[in-house]
This record gives sequence, structure tokens and C-alpha cells, in this order.
Amino acid sequence: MILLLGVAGWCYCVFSGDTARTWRALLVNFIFFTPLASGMIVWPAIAIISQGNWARSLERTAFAGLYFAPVSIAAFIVLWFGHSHWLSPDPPQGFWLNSKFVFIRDLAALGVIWVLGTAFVNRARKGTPSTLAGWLCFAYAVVFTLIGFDIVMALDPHWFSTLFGGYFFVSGMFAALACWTVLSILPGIASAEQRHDLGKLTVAVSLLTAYLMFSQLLPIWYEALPKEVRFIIPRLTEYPWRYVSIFLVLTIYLGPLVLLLTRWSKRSPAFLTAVSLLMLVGLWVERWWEVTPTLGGQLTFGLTEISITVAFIASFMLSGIISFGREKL
Amino acid sequence: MSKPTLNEIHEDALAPLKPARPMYYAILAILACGFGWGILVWIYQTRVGLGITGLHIPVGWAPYITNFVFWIGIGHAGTLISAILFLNRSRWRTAISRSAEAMTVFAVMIAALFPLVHLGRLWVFYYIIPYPSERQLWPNFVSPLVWDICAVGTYLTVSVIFWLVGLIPDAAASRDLYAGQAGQKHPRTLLYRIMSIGWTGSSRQWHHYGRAYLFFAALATPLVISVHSVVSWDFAMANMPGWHTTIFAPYFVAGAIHSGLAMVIALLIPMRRIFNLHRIITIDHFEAMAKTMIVTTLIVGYAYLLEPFIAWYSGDVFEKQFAWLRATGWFAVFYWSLTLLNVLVPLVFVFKAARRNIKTLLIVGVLVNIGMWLERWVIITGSLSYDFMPHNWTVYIFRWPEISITFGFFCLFFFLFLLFSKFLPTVAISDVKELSAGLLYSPEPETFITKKQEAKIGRKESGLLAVFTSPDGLVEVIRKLKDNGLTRIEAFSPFRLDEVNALLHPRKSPVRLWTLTGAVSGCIGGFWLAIGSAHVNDLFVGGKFSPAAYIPYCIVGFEGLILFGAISNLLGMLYNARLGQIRLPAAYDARFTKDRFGLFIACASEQIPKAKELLASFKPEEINVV
Repeated sequence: MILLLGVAGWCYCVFSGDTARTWRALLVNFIFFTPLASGMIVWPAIAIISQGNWARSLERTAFAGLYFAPVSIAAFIVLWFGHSHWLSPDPPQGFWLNSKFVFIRDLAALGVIWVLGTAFVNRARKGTPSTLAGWLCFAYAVVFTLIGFDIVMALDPHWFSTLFGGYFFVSGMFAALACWTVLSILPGIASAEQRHDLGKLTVAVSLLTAYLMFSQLLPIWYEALPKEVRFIIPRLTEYPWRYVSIFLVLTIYLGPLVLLLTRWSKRSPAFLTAVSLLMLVGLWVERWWEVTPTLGGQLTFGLTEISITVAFIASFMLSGIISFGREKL
Repeated sequence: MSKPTLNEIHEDALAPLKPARPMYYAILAILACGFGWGILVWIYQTRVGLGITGLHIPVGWAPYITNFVFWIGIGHAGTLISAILFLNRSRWRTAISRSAEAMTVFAVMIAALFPLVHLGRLWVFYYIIPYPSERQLWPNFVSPLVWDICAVGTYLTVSVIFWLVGLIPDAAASRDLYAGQAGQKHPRTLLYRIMSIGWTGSSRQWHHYGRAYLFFAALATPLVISVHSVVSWDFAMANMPGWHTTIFAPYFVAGAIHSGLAMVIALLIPMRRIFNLHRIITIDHFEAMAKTMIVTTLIVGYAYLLEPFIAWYSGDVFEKQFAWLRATGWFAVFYWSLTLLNVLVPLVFVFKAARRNIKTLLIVGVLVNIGMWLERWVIITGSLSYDFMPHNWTVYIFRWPEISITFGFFCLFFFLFLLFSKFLPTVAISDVKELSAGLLYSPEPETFITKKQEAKIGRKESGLLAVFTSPDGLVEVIRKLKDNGLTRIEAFSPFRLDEVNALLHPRKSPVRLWTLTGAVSGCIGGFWLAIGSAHVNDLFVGGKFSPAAYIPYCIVGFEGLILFGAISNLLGMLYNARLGQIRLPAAYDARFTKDRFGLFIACASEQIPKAKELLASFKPEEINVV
């Protein structure tokens, strides 16, 4: 119900008013939810590879991400119709950023990750251990490096950062972990030990994300080369992006380290859920902050952003409901 | 192979400490000669100058810096195995952690020597240390070379502390073994007594030690990632094609772990053979390391693919030119070899048979080490010899001093490792025992905070000492004793018993407050040092307004956090566990570090018969009145 309302709201905004902004809103939500949903399937794969038996009983909540697959592919195809608003018409890279080529290869990449994810979930449900876990992790890294490069870095084709793809998929895993934590705690599935482990993992992944952000920031800031520093100048010096950056440092980069320092904080279901929800909000803002200054947007949240975000959230919750129903959780 | 008993573990691990065969001394002598030759050449180079090396414009950094980066990288696997795998609760870490940590300490020590070698006039190294000089000259904390001092200095300090702290219980085991065999006055006994600083295996000591060790691991993990990132930023901060790329930090860290794991494999296979440690270090350990190497191989391969791609994508003429020349120029042979050795060769571990074959493991370990040395070489000297303008391009030729010093320091590494394996336990004995008892990483029992004071038992107290052969049932014994009014109890064990500790020391260890205070003050101190020293002269360097250059100062603050967090963690542990006492308590029995568990009940002589009666039902091996 909410989903249809959200979609309707967004469509209305597309055909009237600031169309660039509406396509941006769709883009932001796509790059937030897609790595989140497919990342949720990858976390159990990581647990299997590293023989982390603590997570076995939580696997089924993580599989909720799978049902988001059709939505993400549909969103990508819809995104394509508006590509003139965000893909550069005449990039210096020529054929590589030709819109048809980008569309085909990214759609193929999405296909690969969802097919592998489905195969992995099916095998995991049957309980057969497989090397598919390793392949899935590897595929996630490669697919979202590519999508990060094509959909986000290419928004400004004159800018580049070798680590951007890496940062994109790791922050996607961070969002996936936060969502997995929330989905495991709310129905009361995770035990105190598991909450403790999820909390520790959240701190670790947030520090990893912060590290990858800093690894890009430092060389770019240091050399101040025009073709690289064009990304960080609005985000470090210009109003209002500067304050968004400070907000991000306090919430997603350093937040878990400070908030989840004590044993109690990691074991308390309410507190951990609250922190994870804060991370999800922060990571959404981070995606929006990656995209909007480059595309010349402003710091405004109106019907446009809200409607499509609500639509995505609703479809994600729908996929969660379907999944939980299937797993009989 | 059946699980070894506590006694077997103890004997296997401490057997290498026996007097050595002549072969050992012969190898030691050869390595010492190699190292000695390297030192002589270094002295000669210091006298004559760096001109005798192959260094020439534009290649200012060559084998010495390559060695520096290589050895720091080798050190990383040790901290990975000790710290990161401890946090992950991996079981396969226990048998190899001590050797890996030792390898880290020696590798970082050697790495720290190379900038001195490269300095030429090595006596001026102190210029870079931040101290209040006469002329108010401070190092520039915006420079990556100064971050190196902070990071590598912190890494060396924290690695040594971590290694020595881990050795405390094992040094106590060695002390008791040697005291029994050779007497208290023997130099080895004295060495172990000093190293074990009064360790008795009491539950009080284990309680605080356990928390402190966890914090050390938690501090060492981000440290290890930061150190090699800082080393990579020595290059990434520069504008050279091939150097200035954002992926360097994680790429170098993954490469470091890759080479370090290969070195651990290459070291442990012969060590295990020579010292007969097959019961403790099994093929499963090597398989686990090989599997981890697959992950690092993929990360390194990912970086190898992305670099040329982004070089093309960026459209930068010099980047594209360099990427092309790296693959086709004079050191293309090194570039293609390292791709083969670092990425394709270790992928053989995808096959289980390869992972479990000792010869394959050894060969791959050695090949990856060669490949990773070449990778550093290609990154460092490659970019310098193919920089921006063609008239500047050059070929680098190794000269004999560089080869001698490189060779000499490799000899030094193996020399130190050989000394270590003879004088100190190469296996984390208490961890392996804990693992074999099935208690490793058992979930922490819920502790209850009581307002009552913890029982403080002095060193010279009298009472009853009961010796048990197994830890099972100790919890019931203690509960029963406490219910009957005998509350002043201390337990002794060769490894940590969490449930016993929770009963006897229910208050959460205050070490965490020491560590937190140290960490926070270290972080603030680091920022204060960097900002304060920049304010002294207010020099506007490199277009970066120094006092407010908070981005690079984050590194200094971070290293300060880790350094002071670790030092205060150590002090907190020593204080709370009452370590550092010269004489052991009268109630101590040397078997408690081997395979026996003790319960000391401090009570008046009237209560002794009652205590004996309570204990009798639990069938202790011995009961002694102390």
C-alpha cells in the first residue's frame, strides 16, 4: 500500500517540477538499497568461510535481502530512462562510459550477483556446504566495485579514485550488517552472545569504512591536484556539505566506536537496535552526500526524496515479510 | 592423531629449551658471519658515503627502502595471527601465535634499521624525533616520514610489549622447569624469573591478565592496519606516477599480510621439523594459513587489476605512460614475475591437496616472499626510474654494498629467530593447554558485582593447599567452601579458568579504565604535539596551513592513542594482577604451570580440619598445610 503511494508520489514528481532532482533521488536510493540487500546475503557467506559458527542461527534473517532482487533490477531499469540527468553525455573515457555499454554491463553485473545470491541461499537452506560462499563474496566485491565506478564515480567523469569501488562495496556491507542486526534483534532471534558479536562486528566494519574513506581523503587532500580534489572541495569547505561531513564522521565513521564501547551497549537489544538504525540513516545520508554535490543539488528534503525513499523502504520491508514468512520465523 | 595431554604439550613445547646440538651452533655461527659481513659493509658505506650504492638521480629510493617496506610487511602477519585471530576466536591461532609474534618483533627491528642505513649520515637520525631542541626546531607532522616514526615506533613498542606479555605464563613454565632441573641460581632460571615477573597462575592474575590481553589485541589490530598504511603513504603522498593512488593503503596492508603469512609458513615448517613439534603444530594450522592466503591473494590481485585500469580511466598522460612502461620497460621481467608469484602461484591453495602438502606449502611460501620483495622493488624503484619526462628515465643496477647489506640483514633475522627458538618457548603453552581442555574462548560467565571486598591474600599467609589433577569440579569446591564460611580462597592453574575467576574475583577488572584513560590522553596528546609544534614557528609549508592541518594530524593522534593505550594497559595489568613480585608465595607449587590445579585456602589453624573434611569429598591429589 505504502509502496504504491510512494511510487505514485515519485512518478508525479518526475513529470512535474525538478526532474533532475527526482532522478537523483531514485539514484541515491538505488545505490543505498541494492548493496545493502545483496550484502545481507553475503554476510552469512563470510561467516561460513571464516567458520564463524556464532552466526549460523541468524542466517535466515539475513536471507531477507534476496527478495529485494526484482525491485533492485526494476529500479535500475527505470533509472535508465532518466540517464540523461545523471550520466555525462560526452565523457573523456569515450566508449567505456557510453550509456548503452554502462547499462548492459551493470545490468549483467546485477544479474550475476542476484543469481549467485539465489543459488547460495538455496544451497544454504538445504544445509549443503559449498564453495559458492567464496565465489559470492568475490562476486560481491567485483560487482559493486564496478557499480560504484559506473554509477557514482562516473557522475563526474573527470574525477577518479582507485579505491572508490572498494569503499563502495565495504560501506554497502556496513549497511547490510546494520540491517541484519536490526532484523535479527527485533523479532527477538539473536541471543545476548550473538548481539555482542554483532556489535563488535559493527564497530570493526565502521572502522574499516572510516579507514577506506580516510585512505582516499588523505592523498587527495595532500596533493591537492585539481582533477582529484574537485570531489572533496564541496564536501570539506562549502556550506552545507561541510556540516553533512561532520555529521557523517560523528555517526557512521566514529559513532559505533564510541557508542558501542561497553559490553552493556552491545548486549542491550534496544540500544544496539537504536545504534544500527542510526547507522542506516547515516549511511543513506552518506550515499546522498556522495551524489548530490556532484550533480549540483541542494540540501533540501522534499516530497521527491521522501516519496521514493518511502517506496524503497516499503518494498524492502515487503521483501523482509515475504522472507520471514517463508522461513517461518 | 589423538589430542595431546597437558603434560605432553608441556614437554613438547619446552623440549627445544634443552642444550643444543653442535649443528645448531654451526648454523648460528654461519648466520652470525653473514650478519657480521653486512655490518662491516654498512660501516664501510657510512665512511665512504652512499655513492658506492647504485643510487643516482632520479632514483633516490632503492633496495634499502624496499627492504624497509618488505620487513615491515613481514611483521604484519605476526600481529594478524596474534591479535586479529584472537579477536576472531580462531582456534588454529594458538600453536603458532608465539613464533609469529617473535617474527614480528624481529622483522620490525630489522625494518627500523633500514632507514638508518639509507640515511648515510645515520647519526643525524635524531633530527626527526620530536623533542624541544635549542633552536625550537620541530619535525613537520604534515610529512609522511614523520608519521613513519610515530607509526613504526609505536608498532615496535606495542609488538614487543604484546610479545613479552604473552610470554609471561610460558616464561613461568620455563622458570619452573629450569628451577627444577638446574636450580634457582642458573642463568636461564634467572632469565625466566625476570621475564615471568612473579607469575604464579593465580586466578587473580589470570583475571586481569585475560582482560589486558584482550585490550592489547584490540589495540594491536587497528595498529597493524595503520602502520603499513602509513608506510604506503610515504609513496601515495608524492606525485609520482604509479605512486599517487588512493588504493595504496589497503593494497599494502593486504600485501603485507600476504608476505607475512608466507614467511610464517616458510619459517615454521623447518622449525616444526627440527624441534619435533608435530603434535602441536599440525597440518591443519598450515591449511588455515593457506586459506587465509587465498583471501590476501585475491585482494592483491584486485589491486593489480585496478591500477592500470584507473591509470587509463584517469586520462592522465603520465599515469598511462607509466602503466605501459611498467609492463614493457626494463623491469617488465620483474613486474610479470611478481604478478605470477604473488597472484597465480598462491592460487594453487584453492586445491585442498596443495594446502595439505608440506613441500607445496614451503615452496609457495618461499616463492611468495620473493614475489613480494620484487613487488616492493617494482613499486619503489620502478616509479622513480620511469618518472615524468623521458630524458630522466634510467636503469637501476644493484651494487655490491646493497646486496651485502640486504643479505646480512636476512641473516640477522634468521639468527634472531634461531636464538628465540632455543631460549624461549616457541608455542603459546597456556593457550594450547586451554584449547585442549576445551575452554578456549568459552563465553564469559555473567559476573555479579558485589559490594564486598575481594579477598586479598598476602604472599606469606598460612592455610591449606590442595592440588587437583583436573579443573572440573573446582567451581563446586569453591562454592562449597564459600558456603561454609571459608571465603579467602585463591586458585592456581596453568591456563585461564573463567568460571573460577568469576567466583573468586567477581568485580570487573579495572584494567579497562586504565586503558581507556591512556588511550584518550594519548589521542589528545598526539594532536596536541602536532598542533603545538606547528604553532611554534607557524611555518606555512606546502600550501597546507600547518596548525589546522587536522587531516594528517589524525594519524599522529591515532598512533598516540594506541601507544599510550597499550602502555597504560600494561601498567594497569601489572598493578592489578600484583605482578612484579620477586619472591613467589609460599603456597605456590611449581606444578601449577605444568598440569596441576591448586586451591589455596587462607585460614587459621583451627579451621584446617574442617577445610580438609570439605575438600576430601572432591578427591584432591594432595593436601598440604602451608
